[in-house]
Amino acid sequence: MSTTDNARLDAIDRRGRAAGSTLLDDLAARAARTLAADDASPVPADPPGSTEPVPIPATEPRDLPDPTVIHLDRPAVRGRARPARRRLLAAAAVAVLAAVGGAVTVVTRDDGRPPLTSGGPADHLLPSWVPEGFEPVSAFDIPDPAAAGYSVDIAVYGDPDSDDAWSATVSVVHLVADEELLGGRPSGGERVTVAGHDATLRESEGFGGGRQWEVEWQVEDGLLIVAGPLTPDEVLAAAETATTEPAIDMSGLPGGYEELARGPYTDSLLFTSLFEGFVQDTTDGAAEGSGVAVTYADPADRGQVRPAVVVARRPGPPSAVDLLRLWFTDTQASTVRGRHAMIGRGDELPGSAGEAGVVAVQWAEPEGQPVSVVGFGVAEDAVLRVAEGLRPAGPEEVAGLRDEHALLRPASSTRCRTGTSSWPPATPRPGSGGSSPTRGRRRTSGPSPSSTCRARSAGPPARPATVSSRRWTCRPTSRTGPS
Amino acid sequence: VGSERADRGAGPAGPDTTFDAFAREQRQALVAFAWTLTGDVGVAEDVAQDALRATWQAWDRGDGIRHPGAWARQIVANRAIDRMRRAGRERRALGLVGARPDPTVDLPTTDHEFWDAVRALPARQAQAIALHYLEDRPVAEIAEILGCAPATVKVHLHRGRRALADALVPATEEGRR
Repeated sequence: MSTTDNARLDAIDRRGRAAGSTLLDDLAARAARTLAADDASPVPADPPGSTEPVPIPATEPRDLPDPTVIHLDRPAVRGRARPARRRLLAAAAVAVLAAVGGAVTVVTRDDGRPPLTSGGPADHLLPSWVPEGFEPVSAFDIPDPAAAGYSVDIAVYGDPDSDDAWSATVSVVHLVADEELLGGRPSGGERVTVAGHDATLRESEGFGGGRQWEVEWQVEDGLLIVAGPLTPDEVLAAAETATTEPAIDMSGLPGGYEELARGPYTDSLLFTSLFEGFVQDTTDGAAEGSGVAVTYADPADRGQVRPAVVVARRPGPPSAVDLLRLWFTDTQASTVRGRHAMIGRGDELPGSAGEAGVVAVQWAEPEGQPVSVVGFGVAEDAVLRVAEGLRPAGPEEVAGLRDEHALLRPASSTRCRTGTSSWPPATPRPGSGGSSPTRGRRRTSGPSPSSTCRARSAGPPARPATVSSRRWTCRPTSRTGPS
Repeated sequence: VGSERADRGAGPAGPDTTFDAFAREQRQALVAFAWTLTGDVGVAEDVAQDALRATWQAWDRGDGIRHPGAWARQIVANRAIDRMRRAGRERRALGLVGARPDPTVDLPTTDHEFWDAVRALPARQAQAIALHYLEDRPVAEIAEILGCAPATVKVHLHRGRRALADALVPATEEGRR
């Protein structure tokens, strides 16, 4: 190695060590600020009917629940979100909730077209064939974002006569949420006026990673966002004619543009994620009728990196099928079960499925309910074989799967803020004769906890049978290391 | 500084160490390590919390973890990758529906350019580099955390440092050093 190389590496070593020190200093200062803010913030009042304070037990591990049971409750709510992150959190919540559930907002239309949401509960489809060794390992009702107060719908426009109509699309997104969630006007960007509204124009990353311009403004029930990889003037022209349907009038679009797809702003991959944390974050608010997702995998791999196939069906219009293209750069129109389908391929995995990539296929059944089959680390022909082989399954069979392989539906929600981190429920495991699960928070970077946590009841669960099986059992013998 | 950092929790837990003490001692370092890999404080806190939770479960299960600090960091390394893959998808959604966080608000004096360059490295290189610069860990400990041979860690560190130098050290700086 040359002297020059050594000098360059020395320089980077010095900078790296300095970067490590400043990072630790910043995080320490941040933790101190957070603790100070937490101490200054009163714990929200408990709702009527809450129980007496339940002391957090001592922090010795022996006092904590049976460690062979992983409780998949939602993580305790972190301290009050700082204003700088509030908007991001809100947007993330909306995006995720929309992704997992698909909006079911019924939009009144005056053009004779069907509403965005179509169909009610329908028979589910279950595989008649899965890869060898695969069995059902999880089944859950897909959360309904509308029930949680959000909905996000999108309409996409492009030139169908171009080589790739989706290469330069203009989208309009109607995000329905209350003002608190939206978090006020975004920082940055250029202030403009759209159809008489104050709006913000900015450059952002579009689908597929390219640059685009987007303009957003508040409407009565949320936000409207128009975006596309066009010039700012073209995006503003489209925005001038946008409505909350959502739609853009053809007069505002470049010549030749037509509507390509519309539906809930749904990323099929998110709700089929294998992340425990993600699933537990999002299954709260699940409701029967909002769809079901069933995961098939080798049960011996539970808790480990594993290949899997997920079959999901939820309400939505047939035009939502092509929206799969928003989430993949490698897509292909195809036919599945005799119907128009979209196949997406990618190696950007939402789950720990190794490096074999993800293949998603999506189509709409005649009832108008989109169906997604997503394989993680599974060959494309196997994913398509699962899709082609789906068979109708009655509600009893699906209910049986949900009960046997349910994932987490919090029976109760508790909050207790004494510090900066959340911990597993600190009560006897379900079925051991103890009280209902509670959740506590305790400090890990400050004094030992001495405060109390009030158990709260979040009301009766929708389906007690699901709640009762809301846990997975560890298999220590199968573990070769942390995952 | 190096020895102080190296002492932070990579070694075996003493017989009288409680998990609470372990967690108090380790949490900040785990958040820092997770941040170097994710670049998001909120995600880093979640990942660190997940790692502590998993460590607590193994601890109480009596799995005989010799080095709980290394165990927890291995979990952070693995889950940070998962979380960033997921976050990548969410960011694509957020590209339409929301703003992005300003990292300098949370961490005003941090060298974000440097850590951005670390995150641009292949995952294993980034993990090795982060443990090297953040905690000044010796190669053997990094190897244990990453579950690979020390020789492999040396390769990761060498390639990572060279890539960082190419990205961050201007050519004119060569002559000054």
